[in-house]
This record gives sequence, C-alpha cells and structure tokens, in this order.
Amino acid sequence: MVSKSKSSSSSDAEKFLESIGVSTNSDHQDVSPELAKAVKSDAPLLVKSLNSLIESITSTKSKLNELKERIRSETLPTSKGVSLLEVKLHSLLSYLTNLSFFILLKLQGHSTAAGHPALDKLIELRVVLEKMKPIEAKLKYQIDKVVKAANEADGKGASKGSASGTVVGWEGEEVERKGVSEYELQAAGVSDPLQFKPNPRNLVGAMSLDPTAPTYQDEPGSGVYRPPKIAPTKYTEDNPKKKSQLSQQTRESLSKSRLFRDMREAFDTARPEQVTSHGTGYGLRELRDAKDEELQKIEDFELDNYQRLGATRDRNKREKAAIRRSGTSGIVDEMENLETDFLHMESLDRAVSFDDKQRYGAGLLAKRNQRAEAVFGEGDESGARKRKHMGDADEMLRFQSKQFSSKTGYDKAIRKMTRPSHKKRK
Amino acid sequence: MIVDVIHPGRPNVSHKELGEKLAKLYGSTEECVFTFGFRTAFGGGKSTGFALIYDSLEDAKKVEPKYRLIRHGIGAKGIISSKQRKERKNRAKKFRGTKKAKAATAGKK
Repeated sequence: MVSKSKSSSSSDAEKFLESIGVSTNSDHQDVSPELAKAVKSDAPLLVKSLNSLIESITSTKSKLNELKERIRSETLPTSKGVSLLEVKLHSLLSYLTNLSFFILLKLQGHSTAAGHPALDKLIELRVVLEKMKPIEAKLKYQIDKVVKAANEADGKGASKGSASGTVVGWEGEEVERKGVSEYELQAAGVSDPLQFKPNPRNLVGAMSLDPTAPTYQDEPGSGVYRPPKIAPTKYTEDNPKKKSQLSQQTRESLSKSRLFRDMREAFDTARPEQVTSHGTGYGLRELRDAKDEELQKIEDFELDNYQRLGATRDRNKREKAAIRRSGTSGIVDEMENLETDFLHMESLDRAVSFDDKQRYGAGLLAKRNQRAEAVFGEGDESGARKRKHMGDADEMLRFQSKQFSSKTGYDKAIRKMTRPSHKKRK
Repeated sequence: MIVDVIHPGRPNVSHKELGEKLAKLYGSTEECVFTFGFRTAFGGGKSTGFALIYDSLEDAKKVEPKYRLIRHGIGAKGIISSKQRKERKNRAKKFRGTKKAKAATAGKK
C-alpha cells in the first residue's frame, strides 16, 4: 500500500493521502482551507514515520517467532528467574497494550478524558516502572554477574557438548540440573556464582593459565625465612643534648641577634637583602605594626583628653619582652654595639678552640684527628676520655670564662657579657 | 587648646614665653594662661602641648590643679621633703580629729 522508497516527496504523500480517503483539495466542501494546509504540511512526515514503523514491526515479528519456538520446545526455562525482571516484563507488556488502546481511541476520535480507565492503568504502570529503576540499579551488578556466569557456563557447556542456552537461576541448584557443575564454573574462572564480592581467586585463575610465566617468589617451598643481607650499621640514639649541639631555643635566639644578622648579610650572598619600608613614608600605604598602632592610639587619647600619659609598668614590660623577642632594640647605635659584638665573638672563638683542643688534641695530631673524623664520621662517643657535657652555648661560654678566669678587666667584661641576664645570680 | 610650636634650631620654648605669646594672640594676660604637656617631636624643631586660657585668675584658682598653680607661682607648696612629711604624720598619729592639725604644727615648732 505504501511505497518503500525513502523519498518523501509531496506527490508520494498526496498519493498516499488520497488512497486513505483524505482530500487535500481546498475546494472540497467538508475540508476547511487551514485544515487542508496543515494536513499537506504534515503528510511527508507521516509517510516517513509509517515506513519506519513497518520496518521495525517486521524485524520484531521475526525475533518473537524465534523466541516462541524456543519456549515451545522448552529449551528456554522461564521459571525461577529474577522476580524483579519478571515483574518488569509483565508491566511493560501491559503498558504496551494499554498504550495501543489509547492510540486507537485517539484515532477513532473518542475522548480520552482524565478519568478513562486505560489512562489510569497507564499512569499506574508508569509509576511502577519508575520505582523499579533504582532497585534495578542496585541489583545491576549481581544480575550482570549471573548473566556472565551463565554465558561462561554456556560456553564451557557448548565445548563439552552439554545443553546450551541455560539461564542460571537464582538458586544454585538450577546450575547443576542443567549439567554445568560448580567445578566447571571454577575452571572457567568464576569460583562461586553466588559469591559476588571481589574475588582474588579470579585473578589467580588468570595467572594459572600460563604456568611457564616467571613468578616473583623464589623457592616457594623452602619454608625458611632468610633475611636480606645488608651491611651492618651502628645504632645511634637521637640525642639532642650533645656536647656541642645547641638547643633549639638557643639557636633561635642566636639567629635573631644583630651579630648573626649582620654576618648573614655579609656572607650569605644567595639570600637577597630584606629592607622594610617601614617608617620611610614611601609605598602605597604606610606600613604599620602593632607598636605603631599603639603609639597612635596613645597620641589620639592624649590630644583628645588634654593629658599626657606616662609609661606604665605593664607597658614597659611588654616593650622589653617585644625587644627580646625581636632581637633588636629598635634604633641601634652601631658603634655602641660593636664592642659587645667583638667581645661575643672573642669568647665564642675561645670556647670553640678549647673544645677542639679537647676533642682532637694539639698541633699535628689535631689535624690528623680532624681529617679522620671528616672521612669516617663520628665514632664511639663513650670513649675513655671523660669530658664534661655542656647544656648549651651559654654554659660552654661560662665554663670557658671560669677556666681562663683572670682578674683583668677584659676578662671581667667578657664574663659580664656572657652571663645570661634573665637568670638569677646564685 | 592644642598648641603646636615650631622652633627650629633651638630647644623647646619655656612656659613663660609661651604664655606671653598666647596672651598677645588671644587678648588675655599671662597670669590667666596655663600651659602644660609639651613634648618635642623626634629630631627637634617642633613641640606639641596644651594651653588653657581663663577669664580671670580667680576662675583659674578654682579650677586648676595645684601643681600647675605652683608652677605659675600662685599656689602654696606644702612640705616637700619626705622625711619631714613622715615626721609630721607620726606626730599626728597620737591624736584624733582636729587636734591632729594642732599637734602637727605644734610639734614642728
């Protein structure tokens, strides 16, 4: 009745429409001009869709016939399957039937009001299908596994000549009944079809396929553990309070001192020099720190209230603490501090040389020992030589000054400098 | 009022001189002008402080604190030395009430 050609020319459409009794001529009595126009425009689309419909119907029909034959010959068991899928099947079929009835109603021009029983049924089935979707998603993994097992069993079964096309049921017995044993499944690499958690044995199956492949386990059957052969090393306990090591605190405070900062500036050429624009008046915004803010607040208060504020005890304390923390006393007079710096260096130098002398000896022997230590690293420290263990640099310096205690003014000055000021004098 | 004094090349200005200048500016007498709280800025040349100008000396005497009156020369200083103050107090310890004042002055003499 309808040509199978793909051309959707208007002549074809007109021919088709005339054959089914619809007139496209506008001068016909029953047809209004707009209606005729609408029909004419939609006609080619209609033809196309009808063609595709017929093609799909023929293909489905052939498939269905095949399935029917298989079911009739009872080679395809349809009982004891996944119940969810059965429900899905039935609901889909019902949906299709109702939908076709609905289309029929529309074609015949009957009203399809909201209360129509077919429509109600459709809505109900739709809801059911929607609700089944997430459940199906959850079961997807297991269903896939089962299908895969069935296919594998299928393949094995085919090669061994047993019945093909088995659908593995939800219970394990279905498998055996159809001639595919668990052993065969295991051999296929699926150790237990009901075991659906990750299975390392499946990996082992893959490996055992090639027994000639090299394994990473030498002497698997020896049973004796042989530890790896590494050269013996000395056990060193992590002792931070060694004789010449400074504690973390001392190191930090030293690094902040002016002396070390100047030395760093002079010798550490890789580091770029940092100078802040604080107080210079340049820059987008005037840099202000806490001290500046405090001073500004005090200034404002004084001008507002017409009274000058004096220094209080806690402010002085805070200032001193801040100076100690920062390491500088604000604006420093370089010449003033030069002397103290030299004295510091002098005492440090003496302390270090004394320590070296004790450690390495004097003269040529010292050189030899130093070189030996550089090459071999530090050896046994609990040697025969008894040496005093100093806490940190301060202690060492004090020890030195006591050692070389003379009554000259110079040494007295050194002792004064190196004495930590915050500790109480005993 | 807040007073900003600019005095380049010389140390900060004395109270007396300031009082004179301010009196001239505001049409008052030096005895009614009280200056206090002057601080020279870092580097010198400028100092900032406060000044109060009263309508009359009587008003000033009523309002101003004692130390400023003393600076001006009007107020009467009490005993300054701490030793004498302590002695006075100890003498007055023996008595109660108005007799304290009598005893303090009597003892001193």
